[in-house]
Amino acid sequence: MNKLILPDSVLARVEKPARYTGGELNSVMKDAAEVEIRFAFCFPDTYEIGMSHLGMKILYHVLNERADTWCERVFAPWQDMELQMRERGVPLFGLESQEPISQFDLLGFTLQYEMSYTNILNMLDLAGVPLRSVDRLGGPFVCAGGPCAVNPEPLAPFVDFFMIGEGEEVINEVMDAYSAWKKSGAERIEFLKALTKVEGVYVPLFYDVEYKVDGTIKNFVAKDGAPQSIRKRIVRDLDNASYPDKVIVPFLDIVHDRIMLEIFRGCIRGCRFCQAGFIYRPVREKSPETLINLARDLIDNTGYEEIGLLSLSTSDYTCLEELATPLVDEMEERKVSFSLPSLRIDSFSIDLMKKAQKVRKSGLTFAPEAGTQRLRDVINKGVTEEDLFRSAKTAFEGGWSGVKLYFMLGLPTETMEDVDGIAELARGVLHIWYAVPKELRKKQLTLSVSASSFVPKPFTPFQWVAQDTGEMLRDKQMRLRDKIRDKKISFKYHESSISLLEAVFARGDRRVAEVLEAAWRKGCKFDSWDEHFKLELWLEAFKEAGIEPTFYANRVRDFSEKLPWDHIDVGVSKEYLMDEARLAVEEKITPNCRVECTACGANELGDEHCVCQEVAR
Amino acid sequence: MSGPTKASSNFTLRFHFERTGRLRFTSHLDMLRAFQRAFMRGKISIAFSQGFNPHPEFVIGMPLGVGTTSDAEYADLGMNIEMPTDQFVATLNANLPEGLRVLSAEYKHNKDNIMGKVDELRCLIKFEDAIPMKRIGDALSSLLSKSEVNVEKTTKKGKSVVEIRSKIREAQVLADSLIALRCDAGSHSTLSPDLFVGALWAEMGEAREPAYFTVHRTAILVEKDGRLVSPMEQAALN
Repeated sequence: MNKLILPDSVLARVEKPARYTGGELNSVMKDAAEVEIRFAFCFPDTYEIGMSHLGMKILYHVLNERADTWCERVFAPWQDMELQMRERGVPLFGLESQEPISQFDLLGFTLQYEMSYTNILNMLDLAGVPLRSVDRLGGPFVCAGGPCAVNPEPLAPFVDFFMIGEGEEVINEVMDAYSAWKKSGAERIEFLKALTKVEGVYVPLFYDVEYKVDGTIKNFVAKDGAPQSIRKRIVRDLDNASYPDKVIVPFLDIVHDRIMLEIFRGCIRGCRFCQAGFIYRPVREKSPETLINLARDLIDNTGYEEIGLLSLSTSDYTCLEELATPLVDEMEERKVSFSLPSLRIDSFSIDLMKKAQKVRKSGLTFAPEAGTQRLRDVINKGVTEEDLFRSAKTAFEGGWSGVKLYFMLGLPTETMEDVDGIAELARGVLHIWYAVPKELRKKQLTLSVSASSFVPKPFTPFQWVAQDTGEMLRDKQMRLRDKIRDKKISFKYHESSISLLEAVFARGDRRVAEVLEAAWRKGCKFDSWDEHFKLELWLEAFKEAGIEPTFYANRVRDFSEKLPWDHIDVGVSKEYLMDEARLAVEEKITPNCRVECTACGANELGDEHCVCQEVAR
Repeated sequence: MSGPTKASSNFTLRFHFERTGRLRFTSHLDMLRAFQRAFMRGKISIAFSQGFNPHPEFVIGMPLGVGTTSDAEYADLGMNIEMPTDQFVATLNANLPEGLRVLSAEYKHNKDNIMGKVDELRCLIKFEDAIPMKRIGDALSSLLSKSEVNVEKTTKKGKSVVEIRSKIREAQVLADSLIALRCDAGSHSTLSPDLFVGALWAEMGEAREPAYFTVHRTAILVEKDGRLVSPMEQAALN
């Protein structure tokens, strides 16, 4: 299969043509005539970003295990390529077959971050598929999933159905329903109706929303027998779940160009700002034996020179030592390096990292998130100043010379004292460095402080709070910059207007879809790329749609308000989130899942394979 | 290069491979990585350089441009053990992505590195547009009849003028839109097909940019004792 949809003259003139040509090792080729379902897995960003995403690898594997289905990959073409495609009338195509995806059965988008939404519209348009569900009378169904699907409303008019929760658990049921519908020859709507019977699938068409005069939601009504509440799906027994052992090996240098070994899902910590910490509950682990075997197979099948552990918090894996010690030794023999992200720094992890990464002793990352203990208690970030300083000392003595500190500005209840605390904490780390014996400090210290802007997310205890206005955030950024002023510390902060948009789309209802479409029509896309983000066009789009961004971003919601995502059930109850919100204001911390079960509700999703039962025992 | 680069390998293997199909859009660096991963998958015991940041002792001669296919690619690889060459070829081919295929391999006993030691390149140049054979033929005759052809070359450092006539060894029109070229290659003197096409295009009196063309490499040759030989011949290996 060497036929490419684009002529060589185009491919040779665009940046990184290998983004569009497929043919990588372990990519799946099938005979189109032999399959019944053509599925396009669409990642609304560039090849290098999309190919770094584990969820795509898992679903590509699960779908292609089906004899009746051929799943292909599609990424957002970079602007140089888009221009060429539009000029020549070449529609968006699947990398494997190089055939237009408008002829496929299903297009599935993964929603990893809100700022990729304009790319979804752009990709539908490039494919020649009508943007809105109601305008699609034939052609492929458009579906979506991923973390942002927990609030599907901003995309409701564009997406036929959403899969809530872990895709590999539900996708086969969806494919079976599709196959049955296709064979039946019934009308399009019948497939969507059938999907309302599949747990975890949300079909927006079957729900009506009414609004109050103040703009909040009055009623959210299910029609035609669709369920009033859609419960997230999870893989209960992660250890025995299907996991790709033959991942695609790209030619291009992608963002995370390594084997990703997922050690567990969920997080025991319950940091109150962190959506992932709530929506991926309950915690489920894979066994070290499964992981070691998988690591061997993956190295054999890919030839990758690096392997990385993946989870929300590596140190919380209960079998870390049993996994990492033999794996590091074995990989060293095979000249495979090992990366260990989000690891708590102690003597064990320092030894492990020394062994795993003989060369790159540069950067370590700490995320205290807030500058004072008071605010860290508010957000339930169980890290103290002592923890940080002890870790920094251990790291510096172990030969590390680079530290990155991550913080958020605009956290609920934050005062200028908390902002100043960030500068003080950074200076504290500086002092730790100078206190370490000179002979152990071989290099210059590089200390960087990075402050992002807090975005309140659905299904967190902060889902009701107002985001700081742009002005407030800028004041805090400037103040922190002035407080830090030290040649030894570099300070970075994020553009606050992007955070405003994130806030709108994270907690938006169906009406913000109008803004999205208007912004895309004005030329907005790749909004998560600073160089492409066009605030003026977004502001115009809000104006045209008659929507005030502050209503969504900067307004405090009452506990009694109907929220746009109330029909989605991620397992954690709304009452629990309210309790957590109250505890936050009282500056009280909540113990992690292994110390004590605080009855969030997610235990109902799992079985004996999840942490909830472990604690109960 | 960082750190000492003293060779640690006991054996050096040279292999001949082709690049076809979709792989033509892979860059040189990406190809190196694709091979390294294939060595890993095949558990081929390759040698790594000594030093702080060990690298496989692996080079591919004359980097191929993006969009170029080739029947004549050569690489040198340091090996820890003397794996039989037929076994090496079979193992590597079983592990390479479609579009890369090893044709032969031989152990090499001299210090000549494929990166530095080549002399002649042969390739086919094909225009995407249909250009009649006669039209190209006339322009080519006129170009070859000149004793000197100076063209402008743009590099990272800026623009410079190079004389290319002396680098063209032979050129002939094979069919409409299709030219066969033999030219200098290697560190002492080299001609990029782009410059040749640029000069030819100027000869055709076209004001517009040259039509898009693809290059297919057919041979790379090494000069040994006044004779041009394949890099796989014993004369080039000993």
